[in-house]
Amino acid sequence: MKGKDLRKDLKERKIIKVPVKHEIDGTHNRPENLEKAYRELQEALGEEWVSNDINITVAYARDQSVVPMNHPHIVALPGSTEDVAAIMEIANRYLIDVTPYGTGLNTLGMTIPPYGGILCDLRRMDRILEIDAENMYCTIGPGVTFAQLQTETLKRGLRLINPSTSANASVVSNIMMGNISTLANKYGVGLDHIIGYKIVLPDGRIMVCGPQAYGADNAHLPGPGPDVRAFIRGSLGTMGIITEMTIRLYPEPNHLKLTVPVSNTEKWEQIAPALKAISQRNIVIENAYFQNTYMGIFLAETNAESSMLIPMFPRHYVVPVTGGYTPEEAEAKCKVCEEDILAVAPDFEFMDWEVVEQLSAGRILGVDKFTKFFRESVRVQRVKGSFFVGFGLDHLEYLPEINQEMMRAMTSQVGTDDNVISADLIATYFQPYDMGRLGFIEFDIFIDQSNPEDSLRTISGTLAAMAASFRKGSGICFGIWPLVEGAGPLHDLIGLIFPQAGTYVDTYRTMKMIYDPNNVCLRRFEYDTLRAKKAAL
Amino acid sequence: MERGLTRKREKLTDYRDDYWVCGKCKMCQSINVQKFVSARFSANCPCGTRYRFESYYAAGMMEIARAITNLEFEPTEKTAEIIYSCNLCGLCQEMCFPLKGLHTTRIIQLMREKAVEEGWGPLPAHASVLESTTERDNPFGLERGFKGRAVRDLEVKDLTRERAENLLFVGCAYAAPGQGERLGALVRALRSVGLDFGVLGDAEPCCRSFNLALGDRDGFEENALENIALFHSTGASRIVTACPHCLQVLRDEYSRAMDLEVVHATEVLAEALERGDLEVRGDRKLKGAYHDPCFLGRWCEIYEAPRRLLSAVPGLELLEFERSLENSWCCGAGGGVKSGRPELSSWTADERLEEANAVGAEVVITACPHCTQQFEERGRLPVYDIYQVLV
Amino acid sequence: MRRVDEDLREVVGAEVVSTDPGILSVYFREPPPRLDLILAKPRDSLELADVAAWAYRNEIPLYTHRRGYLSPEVASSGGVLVDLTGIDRIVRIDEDNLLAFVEYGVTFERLKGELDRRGLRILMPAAATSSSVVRTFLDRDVILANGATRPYQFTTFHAILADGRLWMSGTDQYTPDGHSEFREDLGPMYSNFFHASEDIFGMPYAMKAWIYRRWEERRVTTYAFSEAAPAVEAARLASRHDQVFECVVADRRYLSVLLAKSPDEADALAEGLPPWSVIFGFENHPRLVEIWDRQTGEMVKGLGGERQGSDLASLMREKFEWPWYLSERAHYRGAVETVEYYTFAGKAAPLFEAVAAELKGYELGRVAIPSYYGAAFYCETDVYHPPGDPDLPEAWFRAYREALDRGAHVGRPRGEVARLVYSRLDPENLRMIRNLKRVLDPKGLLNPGQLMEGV
Repeated sequence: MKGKDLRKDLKERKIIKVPVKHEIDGTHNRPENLEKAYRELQEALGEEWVSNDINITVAYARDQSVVPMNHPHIVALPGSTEDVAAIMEIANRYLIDVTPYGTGLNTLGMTIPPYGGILCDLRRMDRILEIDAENMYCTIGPGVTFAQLQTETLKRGLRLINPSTSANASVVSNIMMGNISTLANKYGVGLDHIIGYKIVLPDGRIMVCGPQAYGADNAHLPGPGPDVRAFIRGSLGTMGIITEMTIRLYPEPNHLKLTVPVSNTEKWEQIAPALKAISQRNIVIENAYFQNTYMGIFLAETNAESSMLIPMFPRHYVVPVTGGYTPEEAEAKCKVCEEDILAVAPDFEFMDWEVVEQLSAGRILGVDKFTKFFRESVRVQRVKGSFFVGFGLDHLEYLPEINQEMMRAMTSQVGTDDNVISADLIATYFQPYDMGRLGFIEFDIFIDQSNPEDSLRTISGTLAAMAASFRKGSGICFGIWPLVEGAGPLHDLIGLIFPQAGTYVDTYRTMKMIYDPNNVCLRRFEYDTLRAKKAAL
Repeated sequence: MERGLTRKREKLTDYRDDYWVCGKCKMCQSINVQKFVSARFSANCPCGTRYRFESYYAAGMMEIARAITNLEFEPTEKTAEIIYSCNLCGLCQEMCFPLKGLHTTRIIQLMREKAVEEGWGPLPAHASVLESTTERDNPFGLERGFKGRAVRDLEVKDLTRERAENLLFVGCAYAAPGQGERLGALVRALRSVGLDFGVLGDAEPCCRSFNLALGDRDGFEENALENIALFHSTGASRIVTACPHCLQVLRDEYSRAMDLEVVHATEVLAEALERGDLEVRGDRKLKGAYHDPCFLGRWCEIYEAPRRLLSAVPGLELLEFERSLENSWCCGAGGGVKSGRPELSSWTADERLEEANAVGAEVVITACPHCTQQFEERGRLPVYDIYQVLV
Repeated sequence: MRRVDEDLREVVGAEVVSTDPGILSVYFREPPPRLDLILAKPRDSLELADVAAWAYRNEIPLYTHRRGYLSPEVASSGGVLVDLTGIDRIVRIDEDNLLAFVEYGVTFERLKGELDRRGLRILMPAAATSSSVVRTFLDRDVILANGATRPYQFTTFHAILADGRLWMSGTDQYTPDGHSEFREDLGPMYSNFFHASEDIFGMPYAMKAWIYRRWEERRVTTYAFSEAAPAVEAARLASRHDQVFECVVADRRYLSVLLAKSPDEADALAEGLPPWSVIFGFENHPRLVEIWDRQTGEMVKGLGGERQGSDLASLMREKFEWPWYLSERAHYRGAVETVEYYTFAGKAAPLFEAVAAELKGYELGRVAIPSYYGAAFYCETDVYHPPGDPDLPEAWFRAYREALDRGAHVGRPRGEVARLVYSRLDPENLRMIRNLKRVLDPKGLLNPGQLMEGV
């Protein structure tokens, strides 16, 4: 049967399927309202920047997460704060859900519209509005990526945090949510980088936060008074859409020095002390523990090359990068780091970059390339485009145990012994925070998404690993709540188990109801919108 | 006609593992992040950057491929408009394949083949191009005979009658009226290095690169086997192409059915330069940026030869675009976009010319007649074909 | 009818509650003409919660004593004044993870004693108005070493809400004690609204404060400058190069008053001081301290600064070990008032001038402390004046307005300045503060009117 006939045949048998999930309560995203909203959006933004064509909506329906595919009804590309405000205003008027979308890069399905509605793709707002090199800040739109901004700041002797994500991730989105970075030990995480921002609230009003909120210079400190800018960190887009953000930049030293302590023995008890030693002294810029899997990712150009390299490298790494105004200073800091590490972790030795270059048969550059990847624009995603993450937060001394527990939970789900998952496919990363006071553990499982069996096993393994981490007492972080809210009954359970969290969650939900009485902004919650409107009065 | 000229014909569904696993990691939406020079010139995909909807980027086109093969919706005019907005410049695949292993550009090509087969592609504006290749064996609507006229006064061997080691495949673009100076420069350069070569004149067929780009594989293959027979009949041991598009077709598409080495003229000249056989003259100071044609660079991986040649030109300060080599931005002419989506095509060229300005170039130099013409038409900077600069 | 104070005594115990005017009047500058206030001084968080719950139930306003003297209208408010200093345990010092879990009443001095024994330290405030570690850090008071670390100096804090419910910030909301201790809430970080909020959202009673190791080598150096601008630039560069721990730029008068105990001593000290001094504190490995000292010295020289002898350095070395209380600088003219804000390095000197122009005739001391690696500077002008100077309030307000008009950022405005700042604030920003207040304290009973009018 020819293609055309086959299609006709299938159509007649009604198996053409458009996977748009229909509204549950029948008030939001009604077809007649969508039509009106579409016309008004076209008027507000220009016809060119609004579409409800299925060829356009389909591209926003899926990502690498396990969240089921779902189309938005309309995709809008605002070009300004006013455009975003117009979108929110129209959405509220016609009760249409709005899903914010930065550059659309995430591993958790957060930009897949739960019930359709308007998808607000912010990539047109990709301008770097200002870089103040002397006073170390910049103002950017939500479509600006890390690689773009890093490139411009480095030219001015400054840098921004490098995230453990793709270099093409939106800076604004990342700072609002994950923002795991190898600089977190020294410079902080998330909110620590934000000076202020302009946001369109769910009801379409525009709010300015930070010193700019009353016309002051962007002098870095929070305020005035209560730290209002904090309400966006971890909100995952449920509390509005940021249209401009002023973030902190950090000095880039004239000279850098990298030393890589490595160990191939399973001496977990030495890793936390080694990390603490260098983190607490506060002379390193980047600082992390990771495993050889990442060496493959950083150094190789292809998956195959990466898989080949990984077994050649020792398993454990602590990676401090020191910097100095002079080479002498960078060198001296490096030496102190080495001494500090050896004092508490005598089984470590220091990697010889000449050997690395030999290992890679000269094809892979050594320290310079590694440093560039590690410091500026890490590309963590590989192997058919996906990976799953288990994560937790705890004091550094607990992380090895949490890791072991996660590994055990994972392997008991996907196999019967620890060798089932090769080093090529699983890797752990400890990121010290706040000068060694605690750390973030990331447990990455790289999967082949084209293999459904592999995917399913990995998903259940990841869930088991997360549960294990939580059982060991670790914290979760970066605005997990809106996700958990999406998971329904989990919310009530947590409120019962942790009453203090219950107070927090009630506060969040009430604030959400006040600011989004129509429940249109990244609709992950179900609440009584009539009650919400009353709360908002 | 025998099908499967070079290999078993591929179907879009052969790549289902690719388009189903695309995780929207966005690597297809910028040049290699390690090579960024500025934020301004970091985008890689002309149609994605112009229209900004995800569907115009490779990641979105993967979703369209997935959805139409999964019978989620019927392809429409919009589907065609989107997939024919792609220049097939190959930069998305250049970014994606090494790490993610997806053949994004190939999938877009196969979507076009599916479109032609099912009748929803190409775009109406492409009809005249396809008609011209069918009727007159060139994509420009030129009457037959123009190829003969183009080489008539160049005193090169006619390989329909004479023998030479090398067949210079001129291509429709270099043979078109108005390109005489450039073709003449190439011939002089080749002659100056002592190359034994000849041409086919009016007997030279069209490589049908356009048909291939538009998804008309039947049209592309129509005369391919006869063409190969013709090339073999000349007795030449090697084909030297002037145009990168011809090079890609002859080298990659014809290779399994043809026992002839295919090289680009810049490769021949660069080798001669290495040997000391090519004397390059230049009499004026010039700052020129070399634009990597997509089909010469990414498709055929020829980056160094043109640069070696241009570096040898006295007085020429060779500049690099911020996006160069594997990361080069397309001129906007390829993939049928110039005829199908002229506004996008012009915008793409303007972007490149703005980049030329940004790096301080006084002229743009390239090694593809389509790129040359595309930039010339914008009229913002003088444009040179590489052969002109050499001679 | 039962008296309300008796009712409260019954709920939380007589020893926690007082209505004795002698005890109450110490919280006021002048003895209040009318005193209608109950003092509650709970000894732990449960007592604090009981007080709050009782007040909430009976719709009685609650005021916390935060610093200095209370405003007279509190005296006659008919509310409860909560003094949190009775909650004063050092719950835990985690030497390994460098956290001190302290309650509200723990002072810098007391904690320092505990830390000294363990070879640890806490960073000291430069313009403290309270000796409470919790109060100082939660209020974002400027700390010495602001440039080398981060201005906030704690992870999580615990508070009692207006109605007696417990609020824990960050991961303390749900992890076992001693685990994680990260400052981020589960979702939007409403806990940060409690910072510099004048306790309108809740009453903080405990905090996990950052503490530090003491390293092998410590050195303090001082440099003389004739003008403010190059001195600030020297501090900016030293911070930006991340070579100094403490870093202070101060004029002659400020330093002399800071280091002296009496006006005569201050005047004598001032004679030996240059117009502007830059003081660097280094602390780390000896090899690094050596390099930093040398390199900052060369940098300062290039800016026209001159290295001074060891006298000032050794005084400052000792001074860095203790909190700098604003009230201790009152000795010079009987009272001290400050104009304080953050600004960029390049604007520090002109803003000092602009502020001084509005305060003509007053004896002024100026200090600038870099923040965020020199990206911004805390700038403080101390006005030394006789107590009760009738002209000062207006001049002081003009000086603030001038600074604000020139872009200065006042991070935690209070009193009249708060009125001015909040009147300029984006209305949606204000609405956000009001809304959270409404959510956490719907009856508006906790510290009414203390942050801004109506809130």
